[in-house]
Amino acid sequence: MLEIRDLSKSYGAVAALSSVSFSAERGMVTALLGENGAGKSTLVKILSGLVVPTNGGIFLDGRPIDTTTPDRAKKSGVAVVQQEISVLPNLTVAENFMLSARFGLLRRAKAAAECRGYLDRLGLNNVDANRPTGSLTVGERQLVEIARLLAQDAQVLVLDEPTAALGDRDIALVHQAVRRLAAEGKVVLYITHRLNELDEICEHGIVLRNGRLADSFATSEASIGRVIHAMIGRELDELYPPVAENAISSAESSLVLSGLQPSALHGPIDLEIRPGEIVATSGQIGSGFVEPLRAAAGMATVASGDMRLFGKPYAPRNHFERCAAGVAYCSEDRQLDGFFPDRPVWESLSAPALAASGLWGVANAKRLRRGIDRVADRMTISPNYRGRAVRALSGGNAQKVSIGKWLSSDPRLLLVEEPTRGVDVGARAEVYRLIRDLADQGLSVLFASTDLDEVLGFGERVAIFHNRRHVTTLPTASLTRDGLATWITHGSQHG
Amino acid sequence: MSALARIDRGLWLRIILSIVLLVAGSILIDGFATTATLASITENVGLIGLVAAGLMLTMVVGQLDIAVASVAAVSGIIALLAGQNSLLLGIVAALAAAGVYGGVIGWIIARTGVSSLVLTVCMLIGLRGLALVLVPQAPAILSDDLFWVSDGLVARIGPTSLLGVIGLVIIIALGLAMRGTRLGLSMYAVGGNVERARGSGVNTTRVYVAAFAGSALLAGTAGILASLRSGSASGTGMDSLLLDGVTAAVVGGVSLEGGRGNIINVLLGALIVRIIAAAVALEGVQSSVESIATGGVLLAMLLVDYALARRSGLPFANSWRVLAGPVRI
Repeated sequence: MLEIRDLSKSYGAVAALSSVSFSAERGMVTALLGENGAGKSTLVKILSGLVVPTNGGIFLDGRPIDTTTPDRAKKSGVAVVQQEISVLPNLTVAENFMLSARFGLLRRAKAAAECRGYLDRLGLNNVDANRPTGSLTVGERQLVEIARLLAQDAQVLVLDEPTAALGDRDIALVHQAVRRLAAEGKVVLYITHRLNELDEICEHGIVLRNGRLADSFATSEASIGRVIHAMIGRELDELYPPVAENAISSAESSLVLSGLQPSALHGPIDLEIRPGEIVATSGQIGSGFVEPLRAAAGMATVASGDMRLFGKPYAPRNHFERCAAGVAYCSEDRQLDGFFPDRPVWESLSAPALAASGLWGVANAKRLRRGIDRVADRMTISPNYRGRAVRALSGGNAQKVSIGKWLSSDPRLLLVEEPTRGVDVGARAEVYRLIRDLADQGLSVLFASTDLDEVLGFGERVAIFHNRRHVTTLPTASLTRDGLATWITHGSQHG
Repeated sequence: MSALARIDRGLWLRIILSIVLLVAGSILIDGFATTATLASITENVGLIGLVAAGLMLTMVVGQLDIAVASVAAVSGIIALLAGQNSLLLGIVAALAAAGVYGGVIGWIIARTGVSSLVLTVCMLIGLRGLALVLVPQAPAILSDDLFWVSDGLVARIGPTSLLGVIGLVIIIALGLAMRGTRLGLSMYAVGGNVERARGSGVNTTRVYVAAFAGSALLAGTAGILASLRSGSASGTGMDSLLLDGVTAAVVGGVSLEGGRGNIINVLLGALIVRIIAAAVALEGVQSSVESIATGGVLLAMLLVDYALARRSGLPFANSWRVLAGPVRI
């Protein structure tokens, strides 16, 4: 049993964690929940030895364990799968295993044979131990990471959002692995933003809020409402906002893809979006469901077919032509191209307007900022935050910046990949609200998502992709979660 | 498969290029296809290869020690000055100085995160000054009764000289160590992504110290060997080692981005550079031609590596960020 007793960590006057105590049993999966900034990541850093607590202790089976450095944490039997997985893409799978070898001399053949066993246990039977890890999918890398921890014989496994970037098939693999680890008698701490994972694999739940323990429960007894209440400290009326009654509706289509054949797909896409409509594309990772967004953003090579924007032929070759046509695009990797992480918020917000005003003009910082304040008000970004670096914001606020920045250039079509990946439940509602409001004012929205609940709750229709083909487009009102899952995994209505 | 894992896709290209250059040189240039030319090439490959192998260490961990030529110069001078009576003492003193320098630099970089490019430019200038302080006027000279060492180093052994053999043995031993030890693997890990390496349990401070100390030791060895070969070490000497070493490492496919590079390719890189140098020297044309030819080959190899990396989907383009901004820590 892992016991956390009275654990505190403060940075100056700011308490990231204050007297948190709880225990996690061996043989159980314990969920660790909380919004961004609730103290989860501080707790994880303490367990992994990256942060030394100000006060308190960690006990395994009644004995205190030393986690003051990453090395000691590892020796104490604590292993952490970070959100940012730590497998090295430039090394082979076996080499990644050997990094934690006990001896200075490497025995490559032996190591490859040994890691084979761990890979097989996690269902990676088809992955060659001598393949560079960089050539694996994100899901496979995640499993390699877990396999590596198995090899180190860890007693306490902390999994920090292991399924955040995975498709359904890989999620099932990870869940299977996590259950097996628990069955082997390990302590498993499972951090997640996907509340449906609670029922799927967790027996016990711990909720942190503002650095304190907010709730602790057996998942069989707790309702989703109680969990959300513990997480955000209030009731959440509705996660997905309804369509406004006075919403602008129009018969004219904003974006029409007819027989569009991107080179990355095996079949054509037929899709039509009207102003004010929010349409989802979904499928497993690698099924090609992001291709319509990429094509409309001018990022995919298109072999044949026709794309029209408000009736006019539309074939962007790059982001410049896309912006000129009034199309906004947010990629799934917002850290990479959603904003300038080290610059003040308002600079990211003003970038599209600045770009639209041309290269040779004179930028008036004051006037830009005034315009930005108007946009930031609409997005409910608090004035206190506008001068801060984006890096300092929570995932939800950062996502609002990466989507909201396009408001300054008045787009007609918004393309968003994974709109709420890594965004906690409270902020998630705000992101949905923001996009819904924009749609109600006539914006067309096309988003790609692997989160089935999001697709069903937020999308009005969903274009389903399977095996690099667009198989169908359905209204979400007529779909159940299981029905959608069947479509996605089998490409047809029946499994 | 596993034995070839570290030998990357550009290997065959470099072998073919070396052979093409050798054949072309033999056909086009009188006196190229002689054992004397071959020995001269291989001897210098051993020397340049030592510096390039050292640079590879720092480049693999995602850094660069640009002071290698100054380190070589100072080491050569110390070896001769301290070795007036006992050559062994001189060599040990020179290597110890180089090792301490590298270890300290590596430790500072690991602990402060300061850019290695900036720090080692300071060292490049500072150590050059130190060399001129040590031998202000006349170069340090190998004493007469030790001149047999000089002769011994250039004594022909098969297609190379003793100096060449020493260099090649050290380089190959290093290559085996890079592949067969956890420290070597950790260097690739740190160069791949230092945070992830730390997360994987790698002691990154130790890796930086080892990389920079190793680089300085190799450069120091090259400096000592070159000084002993010529029997003298001046305060302004060995300037060309830096550019030759960097060229050999980059022609050898070591990525400035870190995490990639192997010793066989670096040796081939040094070979290609020295073949061009030998050909130009025999033709008797100006050294500017050598510069243009070497620059051209370097550019061509970069483009080819870029194309190969693009085809395999690896982010080669990132390595250009190193040139534009501070070296990634």
